[in-house]
Amino acid sequence: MTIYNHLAYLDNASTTPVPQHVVDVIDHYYHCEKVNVHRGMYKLANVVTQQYEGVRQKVAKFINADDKNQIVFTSGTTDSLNMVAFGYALSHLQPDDEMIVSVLEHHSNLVPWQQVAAKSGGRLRIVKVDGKGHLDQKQLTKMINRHTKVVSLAMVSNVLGTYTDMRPIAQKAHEIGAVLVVDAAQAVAHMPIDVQKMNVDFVAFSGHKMFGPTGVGVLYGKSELLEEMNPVRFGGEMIDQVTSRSATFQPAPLKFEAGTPNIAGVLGLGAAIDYINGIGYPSIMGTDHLLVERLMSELNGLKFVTIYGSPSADDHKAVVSFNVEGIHAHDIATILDSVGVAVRAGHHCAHPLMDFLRTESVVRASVSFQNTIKEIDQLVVGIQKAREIFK
Amino acid sequence: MSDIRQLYQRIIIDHANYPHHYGKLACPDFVRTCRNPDCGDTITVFVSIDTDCFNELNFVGDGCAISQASASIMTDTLIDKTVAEATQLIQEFQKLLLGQHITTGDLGDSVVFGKLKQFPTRVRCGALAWHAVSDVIEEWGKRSGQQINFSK
Ligand SMILES: Cc1ncc(COP(=O)(O)O)c(C=O)c1O
Repeated sequence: MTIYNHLAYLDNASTTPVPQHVVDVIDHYYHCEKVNVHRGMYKLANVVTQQYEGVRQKVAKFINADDKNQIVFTSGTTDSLNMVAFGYALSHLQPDDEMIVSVLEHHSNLVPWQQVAAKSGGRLRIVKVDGKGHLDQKQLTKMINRHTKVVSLAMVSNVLGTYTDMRPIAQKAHEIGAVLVVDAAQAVAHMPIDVQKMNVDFVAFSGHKMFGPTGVGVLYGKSELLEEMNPVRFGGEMIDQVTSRSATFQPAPLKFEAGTPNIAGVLGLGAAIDYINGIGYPSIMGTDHLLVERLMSELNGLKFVTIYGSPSADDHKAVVSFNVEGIHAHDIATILDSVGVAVRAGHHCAHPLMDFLRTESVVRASVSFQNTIKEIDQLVVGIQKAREIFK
Repeated sequence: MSDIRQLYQRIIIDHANYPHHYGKLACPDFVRTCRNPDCGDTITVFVSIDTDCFNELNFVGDGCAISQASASIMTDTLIDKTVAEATQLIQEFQKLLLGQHITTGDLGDSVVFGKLKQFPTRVRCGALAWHAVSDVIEEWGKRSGQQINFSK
């Protein structure tokens, strides 16, 4: 299905399209029931509050959290990660304590921890990846020590597409009393997330990368951790009792949702979950894999193309980054655009990874199950055209 | 859809592949690096200005064909020009990128970037090297007690 007017949209890792059902739900809210949540005494306010809280329940089920109060609505992955960094890590880090991220993190899972390190006097350590883009487990095992308080890792890399199994890492982190934070932004549209099975402590993801609207996201946290975690925003909705000099807060998750939330966004997120459940992850993963396999085998056949990370399609969860010899990534992206293919080119908010790969920028093609083999082939045609132009 | 070859004209590809005046100068009067934070393209210009004339103008850089070719063609355009002439040419080039009418014919081969306006995402690439030189001219102005400001 090509949605954007004959554009082969291969930039799904940036943001995915939204299906009609999601648009309808948002539209219905704005047209017919745009009232606030958690405060009105009239019936409609209660109806919408029920819907809003119903999505919390839906998200909990979606990621197999055992309690809906473990689900905090945020504005997106970046917001979720910042909340953990400044609401949890900052108050738990002593000077000499350590946090660990990997070299392939998106800036939103790097810069907040840098800031926490600077403010707390703690130290941020960076674990490498191997030539195939997999996390260097040996190095990570060595790095985790009694000073480690936080380990924060991407479940799927937004550049290399590699997947990291969080279970063994969670176990190691827990052995020394650290928490494991998972950036699931790139995972959620492509594989099921089971927070209990992974036994991780915090999980962050964005609605707009899973066929939902922009401006809404999720932070999952274990109940006792959310209880310990401080709000980073203060105001209405999140308070319990207020005097002119002090205030007490609601329990989680409401203490983290100060102000009028993105109600339309949350309802849209619920619709997006219905959409994903309707298709089913087995089917989604099957299509993703077929598309990536075609893309990889085509690109592997072009000797002037360098693929970053693993040479195997199995290791690329819907994302393949590459460069074409002698042609800058931006020029490739512009020429692909001219043949109706949308890809992203650049550093992909991952400067440390670019340095690690010894490049300034890469072309990234990222699929969703809505793409077609024909669209992949169109990309290959575009690359050939670029070669011709640059001959 | 605009024809992509309007953007990647032969002359642009040639300059990108074989840039003119590429490499550092040994003793430049001015060095200025400009970077496009969105895409990481960088251009560093090395300039020698003798009294008020662009005696030497070299560059090094990293980035797409548009940014690198624009720098290369710019060196051809600006070398041997006076600061006043260069200032005017920079302003002409800015107008060209905006799709406005330009008056002088002195932009030389740099006029090929007039097509950039059909590719709005790439305008900044074409402008990068010219930004660097306009910064140099502002600095030259400061050093010689004149106020020169480009609208950016
Ligand atoms: C791995 C990863 N983490 C975090 C983010 C940030 O997500 P958002 O911009 O929705 O906050 C992205 C978005 O590109 C991402 O790919």
